[in-house]
Amino acid sequence: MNLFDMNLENVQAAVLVGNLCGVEGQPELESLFFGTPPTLDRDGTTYAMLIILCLGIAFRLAQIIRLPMPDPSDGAVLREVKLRTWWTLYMIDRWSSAGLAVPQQLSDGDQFHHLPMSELKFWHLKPDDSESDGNYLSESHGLWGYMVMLARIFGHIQILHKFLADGALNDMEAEQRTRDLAHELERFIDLLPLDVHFSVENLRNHAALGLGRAFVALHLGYHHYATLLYFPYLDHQQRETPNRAMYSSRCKHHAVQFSDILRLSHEIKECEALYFIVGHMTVVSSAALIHTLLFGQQEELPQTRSRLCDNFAILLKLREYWPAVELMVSVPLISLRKGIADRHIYRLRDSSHFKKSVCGL
Amino acid sequence: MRVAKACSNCRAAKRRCTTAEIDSQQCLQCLQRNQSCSLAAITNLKKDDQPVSIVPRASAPSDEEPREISLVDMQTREHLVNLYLQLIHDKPHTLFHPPTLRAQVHEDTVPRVILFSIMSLAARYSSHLSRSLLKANGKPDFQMIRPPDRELRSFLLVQRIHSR
Repeated sequence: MNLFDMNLENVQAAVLVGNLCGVEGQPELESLFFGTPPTLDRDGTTYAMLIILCLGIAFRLAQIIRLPMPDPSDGAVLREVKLRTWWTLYMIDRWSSAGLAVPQQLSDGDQFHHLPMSELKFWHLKPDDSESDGNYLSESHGLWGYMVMLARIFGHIQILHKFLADGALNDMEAEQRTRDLAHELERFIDLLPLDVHFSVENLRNHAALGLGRAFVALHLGYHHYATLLYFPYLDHQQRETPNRAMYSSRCKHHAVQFSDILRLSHEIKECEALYFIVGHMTVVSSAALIHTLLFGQQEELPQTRSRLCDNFAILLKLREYWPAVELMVSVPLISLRKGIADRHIYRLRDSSHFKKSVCGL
Repeated sequence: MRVAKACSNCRAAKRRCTTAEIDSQQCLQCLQRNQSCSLAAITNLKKDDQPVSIVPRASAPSDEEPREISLVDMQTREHLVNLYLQLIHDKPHTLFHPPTLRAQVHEDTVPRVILFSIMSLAARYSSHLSRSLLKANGKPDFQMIRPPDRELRSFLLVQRIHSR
């Protein structure tokens, strides 16, 4: 098998290998968190470069073979696999462009494609089933369809954060953009069918169908993106703007929701979130919780402390599986220690390091 | 909490799993019942700590598919692919039609680089299931355990790509 053959399998392989580089290698995470230049490994190249390389190959291969356009001879399964592989690239693009500081490769303009069909329907397709547009006509999508919708909003949140980091927006402009994205998140929730909203009952129902972990992933993603959107408003030293207090409390609300869903996912069978990126998202949730611990009201403290412990326990669990989580665990601890010593870690506007660690991969 | 050392048959039957000697290829219980024992796969993997034993060395001279992969028996492959489908696939990425992937693994028609990647992503979890089986009181256990076949995860894929 040659990696440079132009076929779907190589796109999938490049995604998987890119994933492996991301979770095995620590150098690039170090550079993300500490802003140091990537160190060279034995072979004179860096894991970060390998990820960029693999993903670059994946994106280009996908474009060359015209993913996700089906061939006339494609059956229903292949057609959906192409679609899902393409949306996977879109998701990876949104996540990795911030983490690796490379521009987004796939534009939102590419979004005329169908969203993935319901997972249950997909799993029941047989390889020789013929393709049918009927699979894509229904209003309800698969869980991955909803994840893609969120990834689109996430892409916009990152662009906003980049503007903020560059100092390209004044307070009012920043608030306006935050408000627009907040509306997008609200619209997303309004569109979500009732049986996909988060509740313990829905979680158990999805778990019974073998979709518990994907259901958890969707909702962890939602609360993570929302926490990120409002995160800059935690900054006490920011000038007062009309919605600062509201956005700040929303940030904490979503961080709390994230933590509660994460804990619950580890208590219900077949639901636990154990994939790599959960580590990063948990750190962001913890950062907002630490803010409450440092600056919150007395009555908020016991619950906040207990949520932080839950987050931390899950980070330790994740670290067992994913070596790169190590840095995610140590950085917040250092920040917390520093934060208690001098309460200045939340000068986000001046702290590009912290912004990077929050907005990054 | 200990690292699970019982074979999969004994674990499923919740019985004590004993071996006559360390690194036995079969436990006494399986031997008695004339069953194939999962310890064989583990000891095969552990015999050589060098992951290169299961994948071609970066300097492997030819393009021919590695014969060494046969060391990872079908049962282990299917176990790891199932772990991948449960714990990773459909979460950060969705690339495969699960029934098709399972069938291809069974027929041994998955491209090697995909099979290796999947197995190395999933290998980290392979002691996890036995751990959750051992978890009697339902309380989360966060004790540090090194998954026994963690070495699997360094399948040297990266080097494989390098060598291209």
